[in-house]
Amino acid sequence: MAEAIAVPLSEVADHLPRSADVFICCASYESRSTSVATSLPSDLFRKVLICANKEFKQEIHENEERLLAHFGVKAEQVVLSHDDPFMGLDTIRTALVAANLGGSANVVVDMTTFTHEGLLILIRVLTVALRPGQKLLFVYTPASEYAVGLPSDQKWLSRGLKEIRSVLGFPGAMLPGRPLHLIVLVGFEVERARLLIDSLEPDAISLGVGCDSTDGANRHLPKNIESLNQISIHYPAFHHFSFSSINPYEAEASLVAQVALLPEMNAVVAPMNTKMSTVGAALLALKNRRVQLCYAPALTYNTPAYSSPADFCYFLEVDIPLANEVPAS
Amino acid sequence: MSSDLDLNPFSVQSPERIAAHDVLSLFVEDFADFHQIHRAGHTFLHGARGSGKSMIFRFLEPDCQILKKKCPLNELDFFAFYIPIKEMEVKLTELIRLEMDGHGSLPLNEHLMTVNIVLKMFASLERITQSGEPPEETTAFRNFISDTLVRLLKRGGWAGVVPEIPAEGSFEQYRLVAVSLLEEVYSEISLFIQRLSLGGCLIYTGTLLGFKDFVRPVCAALRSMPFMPATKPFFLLVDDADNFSEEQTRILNTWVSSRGTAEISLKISTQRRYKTFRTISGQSIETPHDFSEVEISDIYTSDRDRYMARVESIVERRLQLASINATPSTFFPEDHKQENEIAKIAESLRATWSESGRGFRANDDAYRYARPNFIRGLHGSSKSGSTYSYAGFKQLVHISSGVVRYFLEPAALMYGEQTAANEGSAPVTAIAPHIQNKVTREQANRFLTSEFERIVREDGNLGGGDRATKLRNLLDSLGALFSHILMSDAAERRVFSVAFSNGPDDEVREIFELGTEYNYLHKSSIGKKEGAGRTALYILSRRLAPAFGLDPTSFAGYKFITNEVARMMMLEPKKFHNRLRTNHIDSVVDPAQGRLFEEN
Repeated sequence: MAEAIAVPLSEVADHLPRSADVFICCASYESRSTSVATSLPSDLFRKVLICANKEFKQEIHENEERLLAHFGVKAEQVVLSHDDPFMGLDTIRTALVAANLGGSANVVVDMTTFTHEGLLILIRVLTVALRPGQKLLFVYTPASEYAVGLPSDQKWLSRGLKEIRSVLGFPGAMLPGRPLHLIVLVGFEVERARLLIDSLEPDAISLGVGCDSTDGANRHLPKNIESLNQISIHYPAFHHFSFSSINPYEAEASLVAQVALLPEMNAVVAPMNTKMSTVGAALLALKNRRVQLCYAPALTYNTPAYSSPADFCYFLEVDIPLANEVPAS
Repeated sequence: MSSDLDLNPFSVQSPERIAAHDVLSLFVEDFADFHQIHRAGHTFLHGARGSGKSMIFRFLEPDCQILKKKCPLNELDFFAFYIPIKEMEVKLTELIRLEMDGHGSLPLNEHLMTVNIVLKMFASLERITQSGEPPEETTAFRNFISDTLVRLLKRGGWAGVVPEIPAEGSFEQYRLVAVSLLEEVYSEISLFIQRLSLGGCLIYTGTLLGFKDFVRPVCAALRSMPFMPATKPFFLLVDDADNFSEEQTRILNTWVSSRGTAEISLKISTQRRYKTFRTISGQSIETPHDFSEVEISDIYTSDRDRYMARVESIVERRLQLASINATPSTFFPEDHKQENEIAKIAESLRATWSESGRGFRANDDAYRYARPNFIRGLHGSSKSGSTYSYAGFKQLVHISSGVVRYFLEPAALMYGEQTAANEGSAPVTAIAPHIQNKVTREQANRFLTSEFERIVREDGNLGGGDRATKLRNLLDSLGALFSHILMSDAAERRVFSVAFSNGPDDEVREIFELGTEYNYLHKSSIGKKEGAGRTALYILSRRLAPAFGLDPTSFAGYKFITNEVARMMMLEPKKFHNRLRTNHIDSVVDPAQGRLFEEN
């Protein structure tokens, strides 16, 4: 099982294979969307796919332009939509087909600023696009601070809950009449998690708290625990578990155990913590097709001050089950 | 696993998770205005989220009814299956794509709904077996599975293997066989949906079931079972039908339009977000022709004494169940210091009534003016109206604005905070007034800020333009107006409602209706100002009282406003606030015809 390696941004190129083929990243209103990309030589890849959510066109413009300028002719824009997952699925699939992944191509995904849903859909498309022997590498730049500049009691990342939807490609096999077990990987966004739980009205709730923290110094841990405490007031009979925020395989193992706790129930996982743990949720749902993944977009995001980047990133090779290896439900 | 209720007596739980004996302990029966629900015939039960619709449905289930009536199943007055419709269970993202593309989604959606509903009927039967009174006569149920169910499934194209059905089994064993059969059918469609994920033109070749060829005959066969009350109404209680997609909603409406209520009555609850009343052929279903309708929230917002008594009864039962020896009033005590001050002001008003009183009786003045005078006193020069304490059981009930959940949810939070404050060393026997006040204010602010953003997005997506901004301006203006009246010397200072002395025009009405749709306003009616006929009365939600520093305890006061003033509130809120500061209230909100605007 591969470990996530923390690498200074200045050394990230040294850790990529020489034969890196396609680089996929997502331009965002967060400056960390450019951290890894601009630390890499522009000629390292044959093709670069720069995704961007069309609803934030104005807010992401500067970072998107920076990425496009950095990679020049190798860059191709891929339009995603925060409101329309089908659009993302179609554009990513088309772009990957056009990228012509052949032979022993390696795909590097900077997952830092994809939405959880966008990342999951990308992974699902990659289960079809990748061939045995091709490598999938993820990089992730953590935030050194969230809700930058706000005092700790006023920090916010998002507000409200727009809707809840099953993630395209991860519908699960929910058997009607069976009770619902909602498993939440709790992050900082307490209100969104609460509204999600209230809307789904699950019969059993598992609330997971990260046992480590991507900032390298575990500074985010107290906030994670505080989030869990705030949510648990409303649902005191919840099942508590912990998971790795850094290692997808460990996160997956924690989720497998949590699903097994109530095997007769329909399991829905809401990944609301780090992208590394979201990859863990994807691994779970790709191997156990009864599990549904859900996504709950917020109404508004703190776009001007969402985060500031750390000066290092995580680097991890992940074996996703390819489409022909994905078990039927 | 312990339930949330064991750990927090005010936790809001899904009713299907509450055992029958607890439902009977917790449910406050009040069907005076809900006759249609007990009778044969399709019925829509509308009500805000948390107004108690699901609990009503759960109470109608046979395991609760046999406890209530103390009779066997076949002597019940009706037999009901509870069918909760959960988010994301039938409204899967993959299916929405099929709907959008128009690729045969109609039969697939009907099949999905059909299997979903019948599986939940079988799940609902489990509660009979759990109630300790499962039917002794199981042969008929066994025959139903081996003959009727299998035959109907095969007719729908099912080609699976019939599982072995034990010759002599319990009701529960047979029920599980029925469940496994339907789960297998469901797996077919489920697998198809998973394959749809990545698009492509896939063709479904599996089982296809529908209302007429499956739900109806299954219900008819179940009705003929010896344990059923054979000639009595048979209900499918479809809870939270808003969670269906638009196409699924049209399918459900088509079922409603197909009549046959002597065999099955559909009782459908909605949170007022039911997507359409049209059928798949585009026809509208209408009341009273196709269905009857009950609006649960109206009943409680228009009869507050009844609502107060209902919440008191609910809280008493929850405290009892948690073995807390307290009444609702002692568990949620008032801020005694504040109430003593208000009592002193009331006494002073009584003492001076003979010289300067305004009401017919001294007590009228004490009741009307003591609390407003206290709030006005708090404002003083420091403008610290926010130090008013929103504590005390009655005040909390008033603030919950006719929706039980708006009492229970903050109460659960208060209980959590009190538990933390006691550091686990002492059981919670009362909620400190400062905790009640803090949580109540936080909830009001949340309602006005983050919850409001939902309207901004949802209405914007529906092409509502700047309607959300107008509504927000209107709410702020109404809050300012009512606060201004509270601080004034007006005869009636506890005003929470407005009615129109002229108009309203379409644009103004639209914004008031938007406020009603999202529960920021409630709608009622009063006699017109000029005497003949009635006009709409819009009541500001009392959940907002703490956000605007208002007294939530009064209901009678209202103000007539003109259409022009309502427009100013929505479109020029600053101008309205300035007018309020510099003019007499009546001259601002309902001036003599034409005068206000002619002068400016």
